[in-house]
This record gives sequence, C-alpha cells and structure tokens, in this order.
Amino acid sequence: MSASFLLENLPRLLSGLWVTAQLLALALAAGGALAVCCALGWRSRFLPLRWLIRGYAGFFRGTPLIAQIFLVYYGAGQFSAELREIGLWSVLREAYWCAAITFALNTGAYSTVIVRGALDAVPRGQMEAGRSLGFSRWQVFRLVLWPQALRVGLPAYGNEVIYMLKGTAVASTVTLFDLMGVARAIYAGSFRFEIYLAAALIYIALTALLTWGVRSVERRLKVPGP
Amino acid sequence: MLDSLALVLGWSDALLLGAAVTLGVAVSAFLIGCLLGTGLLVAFRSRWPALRMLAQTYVAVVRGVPELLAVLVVFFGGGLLYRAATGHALDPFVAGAIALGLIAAAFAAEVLRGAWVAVPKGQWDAAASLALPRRVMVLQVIGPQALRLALPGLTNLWLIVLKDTALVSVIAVDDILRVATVASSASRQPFTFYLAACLLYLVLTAASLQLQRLLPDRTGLGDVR
Repeated sequence: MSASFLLENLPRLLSGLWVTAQLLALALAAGGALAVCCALGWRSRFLPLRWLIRGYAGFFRGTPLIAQIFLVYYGAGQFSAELREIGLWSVLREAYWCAAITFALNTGAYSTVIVRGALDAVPRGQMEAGRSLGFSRWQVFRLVLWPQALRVGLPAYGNEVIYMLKGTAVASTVTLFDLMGVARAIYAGSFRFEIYLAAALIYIALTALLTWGVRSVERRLKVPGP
Repeated sequence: MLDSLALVLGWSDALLLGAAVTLGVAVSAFLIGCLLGTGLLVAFRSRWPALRMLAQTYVAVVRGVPELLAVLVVFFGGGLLYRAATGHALDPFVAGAIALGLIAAAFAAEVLRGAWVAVPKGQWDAAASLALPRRVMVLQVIGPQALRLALPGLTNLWLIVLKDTALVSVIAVDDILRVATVASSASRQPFTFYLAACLLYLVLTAASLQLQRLLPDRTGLGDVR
C-alpha cells in the first residue's frame, strides 16, 4: 500500500464521502418523517390506510435495496413520456434523486416497524391518563408517548442508521460517485486494489462515528438514576 | 399489462434459474456464516484475551463495511490471490458466497453469543452437579437450549443474507437481479422486469418466514412450559 497513491486520491475520496453523507442525511430525514407518519397510520381505524402501510413496509423490507434502486432509476425510463407529462421526469432522470428517494423509502419502511414497536411498548393507559387531564390526543402523543417511545426505539434505530450508511454504497451501481463509486472508478483506472481498503477504512470510521453519536443521544435521553 | 405479463412469462425459465442461483448463493453464504460464527463464538468465550480481541475486532470491522464493498474486495482482491496461487480465475459465485458469508459470520456470532449467555446459569450448575463431562455439557445441555434461543435471530440473518445476495449480480453472477437486468435491456422494459425480480424476492422472503413458523414444531424446539 503506497501512501502517495492514497494521498493523491484523497480529494476524490473525500468528494465521494460528501455525496455519501448527503444521501444518508436526505434518506434519514425523509425516511424518518415518513416512518413516524406510517407508524401513526398503522394505528388508524381506517382499514385501507393500514393495508397501504403494511404493503409498503412489506415490499421494501422484503426486497433487496439494489433491486429497489434499479426499479426506480432504470424502471423510470420505461415511463419517461408519462413522467414528462406530469413533470416528474426532471427528478427521476437524475440518479442522485432516484437514489435519495429509494433510500428514503427503504429506511422509512424499516423505521416504520421500529417506531411502531417503540410506540406499542408505551402502556395504553398513558394515553387515557393524558386525555383525562385534558390534553388533546396530539399533545399526549408529542409530550408523553413520543419521548418514552424514543428511548425504547433508539438502539434499534441506531442499527438502522448504520445499515443505511452501508446501503448507500449501492448508489455506485446507478452511476453515482459516492464514496463507493469513487473507489470503483479509481480502481478501474489504476487497478490498485488498496483503494478499496482505504474506502473500507473510511466507512468503518464513519460507522464508529455514527455509533458514538447514537450512544451519546441515548445517554442524554436516559432517565437519570441507577 | 397483459403484454408485460406475457413478456415476463417468456423469461420465466431464466428467472427461475436465477432464483435457484440466488438461493444457492444465499444457502452457501448462510452456512459459511453459521460455521464461522460458531468459531467466533468459541473465540469470544475463549480464555485467551488475544483470541477474544481478535473476534471483537473482526465483528467491529465487518459491522462497518458495506456489503457491496466486501463483495468487490473478495472478488478482486481474493481473485488476485487465488490467481497467484492456482493460476485460475476466482469464480464469481464462490467469491460472492464467501464475501456474504464473511459478513454473515459477524452477525451470526452476535446472535449466537446473545443466545449463549441467555441460557440460565443454573443449567451449568445442574450439569456440573451431575458431573457431566465438559463436552456433554456444551453439546447436549447448553448448546441445544442456546440454539433454540438463537432461532429467531438466525431466521432474521437468513433474510438479510437472502436479500444481500442481489449484490452478487454486480460481479456477474446470474442471479435473479442479473437475469432481470439482461431481460430489461433485451426488451427495453426495465420497470416490468425489475418489478418481476422484486416480486420473486418477496416470494422467497415470504416463503422463508412461512418455513420459520413451521420450524419449532418440526424440530421439537418449541417453547414448552
């Protein structure tokens, strides 16, 4: 492994890291919001909504991420005329947005199940108690249920974040130059295998950083005491 | 709609063959993962700190490496070594199975370790009080109980491995996803074929879950109280 070769390519790797970070942030933000909505929808009395959410979560949890991104990115081409008409083509033509959308839908599906489990872990009586004190349902959710569910769900969600980080590497299969994509491009140009090891080290460091981040949030949210 | 269905049916032999390849990679990777995971479990419980540290480092490293990267590293890096040693090219099927197996091992180790420590301590004491030899203790008293506790985690791991096999299409293994890619460029109907591929994966994952429900009855491992 030569240091000068890696130093030479460090700027490209870092530009790839930036794309990876963007995709991860977009996916987690959109997917997280989607998951909270879906988890609430799962408790709805309106049956078709529950079916819809279960179908969504089942599809995205039961199929490989790489197949999903191919379906969105390459599959969109089949409907380019129709998509152009409704003005979505300019978005779905871009590999970047296809990747971001796919990742958001994917992590949204996994997170829906995590959030649902966490909400189920909060005893039912809490809602009744809150309502009897005159809080609205939304207030009880926001002030009573959610903070408790957050504590329960955070460790599992931390794993999901790591999983999504590793999943973003799939973006390189749809022409994107994320960290993985840059490493593949450099390898294709130089046949220097150590570039993959360098990329692996960056991913491992990123995983350690995120693990540490989630742990510190967990510590902050923990109920004080023994 | 009907046209698309007819088109997919025309490719059904190739897709089913792809499903067989997908299952082949998944089963190989899962078995490698379980074997190596058991080895890691032994290392975790070892008396030697160096061995424990080695296992911990392995799990920590593998946890952070994207599956796609592992597949490429084993295919290209392992391929170089293999060619240097034998003069032949490394088969992508083998490379994919090994790469996914190496990753599955870290997960399997965690699952097995969790199950191992969840067996009540009294079972060890009881086995010791019967003066059972250590081998019998591990293989016939603690092991079977730990395996039962590990089943849900291992099922989960199987599902993860099954879905991760789609990554080997990148190194040109003719699995479901690769067949779908070939079919969509031949027919110019990518959405149709990737959707068909997704549905095939759904069938495989759903069938796995169904099998798992039967498993406790079949093996007599169900929780009897």
